Amino acid sequence: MDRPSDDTAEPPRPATEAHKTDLRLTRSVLDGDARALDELIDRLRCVPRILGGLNDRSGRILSDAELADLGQDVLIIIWEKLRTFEGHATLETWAYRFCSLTWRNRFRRTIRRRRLQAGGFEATVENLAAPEVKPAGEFEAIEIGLEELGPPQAEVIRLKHFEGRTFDEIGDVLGLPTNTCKTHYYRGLNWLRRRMRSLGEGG
Amino acid sequence: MTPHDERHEMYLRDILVGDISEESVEARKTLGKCPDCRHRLAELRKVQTDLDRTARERDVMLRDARNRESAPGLDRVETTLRQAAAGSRSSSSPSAPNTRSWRWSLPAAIAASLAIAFLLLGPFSGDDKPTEPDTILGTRIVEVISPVGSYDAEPVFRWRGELPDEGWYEVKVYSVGAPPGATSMGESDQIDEPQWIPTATEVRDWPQAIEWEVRVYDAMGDTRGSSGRIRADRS
Repeated sequence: MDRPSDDTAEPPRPATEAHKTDLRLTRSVLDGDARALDELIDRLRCVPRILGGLNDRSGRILSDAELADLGQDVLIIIWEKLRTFEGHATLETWAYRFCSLTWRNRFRRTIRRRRLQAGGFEATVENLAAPEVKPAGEFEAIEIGLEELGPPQAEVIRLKHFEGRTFDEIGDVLGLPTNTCKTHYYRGLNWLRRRMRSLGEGG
Repeated sequence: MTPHDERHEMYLRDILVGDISEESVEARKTLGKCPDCRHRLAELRKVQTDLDRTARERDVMLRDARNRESAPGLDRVETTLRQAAAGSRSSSSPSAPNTRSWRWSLPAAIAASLAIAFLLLGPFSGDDKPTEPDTILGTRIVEVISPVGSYDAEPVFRWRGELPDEGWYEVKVYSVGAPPGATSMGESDQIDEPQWIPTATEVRDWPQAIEWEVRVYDAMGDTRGSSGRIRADRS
């Protein structure tokens, strides 16, 4: 798969203030603020759009109806998780995690179903999906690994690589000494290294 | 060659967090003498590269999403979230909305009834068990969403329930009528999402009729709630 070049793929990193604003937004929504809910609805219109993008890149393996259902499932998951949003990323970035993981689960499930329907034909991910997509590749292993790793190590790694923060900034965000963040980062990397190896072996 | 030790670990950490350069004389001296360090460093650099690629992939997808005008399901966003908000206003915490009522309402109602019946008549009804309303209310009721009544070759087990901090769910599948304590035919790992999808291979071995149960555990591994057993026949 061709990776996007740096100059086209790096949008400006969101400011910490934007994250705080998003945290206030989610808190207001949970407090029953109707205006905040309107804004949240507007912001979370990104969910079906992200799923549409993921589906396009897989060769449109899901139908429009399946994709619409999936979007609804993701919105429900996001709603149920809204209390856990800590403002370490923008709302859209946070929502992307749920879109990606849920979509990949559905992708696998669809592949499995089609294998069964094919009556033993050993269809593979590669011949059911567009060649540029690697749903079971390193992206998935990374995301699964980070979900399993959990805080604080996964948070440190996400902030470092996904939000472009320095260790000093990460310390500020998480309320931890910089050196502790570095140690979490190193331990988390080692854990991911082992986990990615096992995911690669186990499929 | 020197043995890989704690000092080497510190070097690796310092290199990977950017405190010292891999090209520094000291680092090259240490790495040059330790094959373990070189191997580990190469693997950890690959993880870093994969993380950066994953981040770039995400950035591309988010930018694509911003530019995308239409997408299937866009018209459901508002309804779904407004119903979720309405649902949460009528309870103490956010709950799933009822948009796909044909899929959820009836099974959820049945499951809730079963769950409550289980709590009232089940393990808490014995003489030596606490029966005070507080205890019952304090137990986390799990509302089953699916499968209820029937299951297909690719069932998705779903439920609603409040998970304690650091707690987990566990699903077990039994043959119908299996006595308490019987070995399950299938069970999930410890999961923190209210959903479990067993593999097709697992499901293939299940009988025509199953009973399944989801339990909620707290961080200490104590049971904090249960759906009770729900029956489903293969469709």
